[in-house]
Amino acid sequence: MLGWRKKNQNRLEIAGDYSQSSLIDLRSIDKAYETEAGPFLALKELDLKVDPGEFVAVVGKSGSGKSTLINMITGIDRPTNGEVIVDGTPIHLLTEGKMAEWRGRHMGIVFQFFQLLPTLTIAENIMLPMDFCNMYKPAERYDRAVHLLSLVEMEEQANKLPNAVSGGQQQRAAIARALANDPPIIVADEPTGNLDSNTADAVFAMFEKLVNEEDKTILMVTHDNDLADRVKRKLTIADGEILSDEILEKAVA
Amino acid sequence: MRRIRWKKVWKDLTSNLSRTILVVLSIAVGVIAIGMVLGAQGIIERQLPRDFMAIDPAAGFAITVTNFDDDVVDQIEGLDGVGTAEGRRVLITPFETGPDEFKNLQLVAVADFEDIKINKINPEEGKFPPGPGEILIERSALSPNLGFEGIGIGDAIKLKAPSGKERSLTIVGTAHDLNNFPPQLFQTAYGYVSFETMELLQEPQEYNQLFYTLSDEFNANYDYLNLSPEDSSAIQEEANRVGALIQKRLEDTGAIVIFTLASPPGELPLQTVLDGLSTLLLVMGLLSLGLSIFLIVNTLSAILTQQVRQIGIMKSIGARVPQLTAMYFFMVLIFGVLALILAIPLGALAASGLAQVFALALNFNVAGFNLDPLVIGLQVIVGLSIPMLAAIIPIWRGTRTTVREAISDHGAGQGSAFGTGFIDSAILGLKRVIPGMKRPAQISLRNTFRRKWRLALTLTSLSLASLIFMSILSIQASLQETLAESISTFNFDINIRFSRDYRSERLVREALQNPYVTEAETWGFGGGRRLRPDGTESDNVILYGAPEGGTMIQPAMLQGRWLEPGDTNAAVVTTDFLRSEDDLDDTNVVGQTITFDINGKETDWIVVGLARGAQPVGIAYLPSPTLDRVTNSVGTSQAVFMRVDRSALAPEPQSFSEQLQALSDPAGFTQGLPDLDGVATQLETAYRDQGFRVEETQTIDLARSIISIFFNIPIYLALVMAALLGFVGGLGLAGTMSINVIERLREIGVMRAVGASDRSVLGIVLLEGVIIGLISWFIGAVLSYPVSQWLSNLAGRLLLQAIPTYRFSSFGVVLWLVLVVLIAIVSSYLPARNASKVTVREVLSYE
Repeated sequence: MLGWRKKNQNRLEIAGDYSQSSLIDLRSIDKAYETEAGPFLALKELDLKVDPGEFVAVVGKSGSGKSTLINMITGIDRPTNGEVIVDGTPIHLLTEGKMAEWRGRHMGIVFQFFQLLPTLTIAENIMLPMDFCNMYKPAERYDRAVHLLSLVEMEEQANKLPNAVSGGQQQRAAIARALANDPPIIVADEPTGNLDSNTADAVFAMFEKLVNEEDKTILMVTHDNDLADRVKRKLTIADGEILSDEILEKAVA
Repeated sequence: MRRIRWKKVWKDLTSNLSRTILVVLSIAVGVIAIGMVLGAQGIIERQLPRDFMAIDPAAGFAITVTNFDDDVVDQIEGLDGVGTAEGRRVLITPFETGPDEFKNLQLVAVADFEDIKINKINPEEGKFPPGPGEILIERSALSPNLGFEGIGIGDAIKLKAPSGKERSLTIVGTAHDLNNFPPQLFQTAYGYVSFETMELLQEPQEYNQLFYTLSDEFNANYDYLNLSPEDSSAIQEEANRVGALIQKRLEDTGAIVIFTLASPPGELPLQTVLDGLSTLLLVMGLLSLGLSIFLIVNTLSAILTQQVRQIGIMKSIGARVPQLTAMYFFMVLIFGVLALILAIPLGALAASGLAQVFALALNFNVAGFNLDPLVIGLQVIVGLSIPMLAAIIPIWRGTRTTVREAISDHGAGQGSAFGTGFIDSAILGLKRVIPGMKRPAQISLRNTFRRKWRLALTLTSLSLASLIFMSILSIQASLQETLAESISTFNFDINIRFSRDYRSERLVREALQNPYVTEAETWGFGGGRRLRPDGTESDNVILYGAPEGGTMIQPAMLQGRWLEPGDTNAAVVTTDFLRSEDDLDDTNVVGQTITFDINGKETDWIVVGLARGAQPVGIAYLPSPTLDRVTNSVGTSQAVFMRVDRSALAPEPQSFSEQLQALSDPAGFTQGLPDLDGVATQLETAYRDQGFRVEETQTIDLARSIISIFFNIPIYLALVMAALLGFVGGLGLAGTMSINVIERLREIGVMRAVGASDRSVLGIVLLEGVIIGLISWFIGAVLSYPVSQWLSNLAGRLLLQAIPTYRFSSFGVVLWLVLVVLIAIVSSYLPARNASKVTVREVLSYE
């Protein structure tokens, strides 16, 4: 009993310190990597705030620090210095185990190479996060997976294996998986990088719909400047620093 | 399966069936080995000891050259410590197997078949007991290689009685004699007859063998199936004491005792062979299990490595370490369960087969297929716990990989660094040493050393298989060398023993009448016991009386010298004799005075030399004139040794074409000349025709083949186990190579993109497999020298009760080189073929 109280007190203490933050709040983030040529600073005293319902594009050249930034927000990597507060939780302080559970409930990640598990069907891939995080009743999970697939127009493919569908369809299924536990934040790392322009357009349209109709907050790393120009906010990263943070009025979203 | 994660585990297992089969086989091999070895031991131990006790085995026996009657048996039964005593008459006599072709048959006459009290003979088929003129043949003797070609129950066989007369006996049935040495192993057929039949053969109605049991105090009061070592030695001591009493009593009645032996309590005549085989099998079974463990660790590490990316993805969508750990342990558990489903019945079948092989070779009965709960329990523990234990580290490492590490593996060659460290520098330097080495070969060589931990595991299993295979062939070479040495002690071609003494001069003269015999000698022969300084007596020692200038027996001398003309009370003893003599060893025996009790007479001898022995009993060589005086046989002998002009005999087929010729036209091939057996038969017939009572004729070739069979059974079994180990090693290599290929798909795609053909990709992977095979061969070959020396000594002690002469088998090293290259090619072929089918498109989209 005492242990439970102590554990929950810690959680409250942590939550209490950061409850007034933005949905995503990066404070003075440094990230250094050791390389053969010496330490390499991938992010330098970076500050960023993202509010709920924003659709943010992150652009920059290869090696500029885009992916490192995304890894900080998703908790995939930890900062050398600084704080990462997402949805009121200082995720840089979470253990690996707690991080995985937190991420499963609060964040959906879409990768460039889709990263669907090859031995599970499309629907099963979507049910897996619910299973791990014990979200929704087991009997409801398949219906939810099919519902999410219908959002991305993939319900017909629910019972196929990933390698039986096209790259674009795999990416749509990956988006549906990112939505599995109804997280407030979707982080996408080059989601259209491996798709042709028509399919890329369709995927982008889906993200717009999620922001506009589902109130999701989306952070998307992209090389595609045309796509980046269609979002509301565009961050340009160079040498580990935010070069520009533009609010694009002409954006559709 | 409502939880998707368990479904993923199941699908991972079923979607990659070849990998699942590989892992299941890896686990199953060790579990089968355990089931086979322990199961076979269980099958044998469940029935054999009971069967053996059911025949009421003798505590000991005595063999005499003179005859004794029921009165003597009654007297012996009245001795202190004797339970029951029974006499039998044994006669070795030739029977006709074809026109002018004979083989020996050992006839055992029993007074009353219905009332055998010791060493019971069990009827198997046909009539029991045999009447006058009838014979029962030991069940495993009734086979073509012992002379019963086309002869069965109901047929008559023609015997040559010692008197020289021919007598016909009808085979009326078969019997099982568990107490006699296995006929097939010792190439001797046994037949059982009544004393009326002995009379037909003009043999006296008296005994020449005596069996005894101990009184109840040392017999019925003990559970012979569960003897403690202390009880066993107490019974053995009593059996020795009673044996000595019996020998004295027999000698007091005028009998000449040539051999007495008290059997270890509850043990079969070939118990040491059975124990030796069991020990060897157990060692091999444990080695298979050890290899299997390496294989499991190797394959599971590789599977986890393959799954790292998926672990990363699962973590990124919320999977926690305990959940992932449970998933992979569940996977391992399923591997274990599948392996058990395969291994338990196969292990039991193999156990049954192995027990049958033992039973056939050593002539005992075993129950058939059997599932032993104890063995299954052990298999379940091993089959489930070892994979779980083996998986701890791979699972721990795999599930603790961070998401970033797991999904950052984009480029070619990630996670398998090459180029740093001493080994890599040496490999890189090789291109300067071998400037002509082609680039694909360089890739193969460098790839081999990329995953050093995996390479180490693969090499461990394959090197162990190499080591064991080469060691076994060296053990075989050593045992064969020892056999050759022990046979070379015997410098004669034919030896004929008689059932009584004849003038030595007559025996030699008769032998030289045969045109093929070039030399003949008679040697004295007897038995005795050493009277130790502490008042105790040794076991029976065989005494050979060497004639002056005799050359037919020439043992290899280790210390001192051989007997010389003029020696009177000099003795040469063998290393076998020293074994039971605590006060004597090879450093002090020469020069010692030892006392032998020979036929009740105590005589002193000075040891002048120590000779190599490889026999189960001790031997002492004494000057014939002195021994003859002690045994009252001056100028007479019971055995004649002969050398034959082998160049005058029928040629032996050497090449394959000669073998064909010998088979298709035997008469033309042999040009009507006799072989060694033919000369032996001629000699035996000639002696009988002259009225000599021949007891046994033996050629040196027969002796050699008997001892060879004796050695070869364990060697063949060990080779079967080595083949199993080779198979396990091959499985390990196949696993490693297929995982290497999966890991390097991107690189292979890149190679193909820059122009590598199917053939080059196939060649690169195959060569990597062969390089691993060659390294394992080299490690095995280097280690096999000391290991085979140690194992040879162990095998020698188990099978010969002596340290054999060591011979390293270079043939084994070359043979394994060929085999390991073949194994490597076969094991790597499928992965190599898969690699060669990879398309650039597939690889670029591969994630």
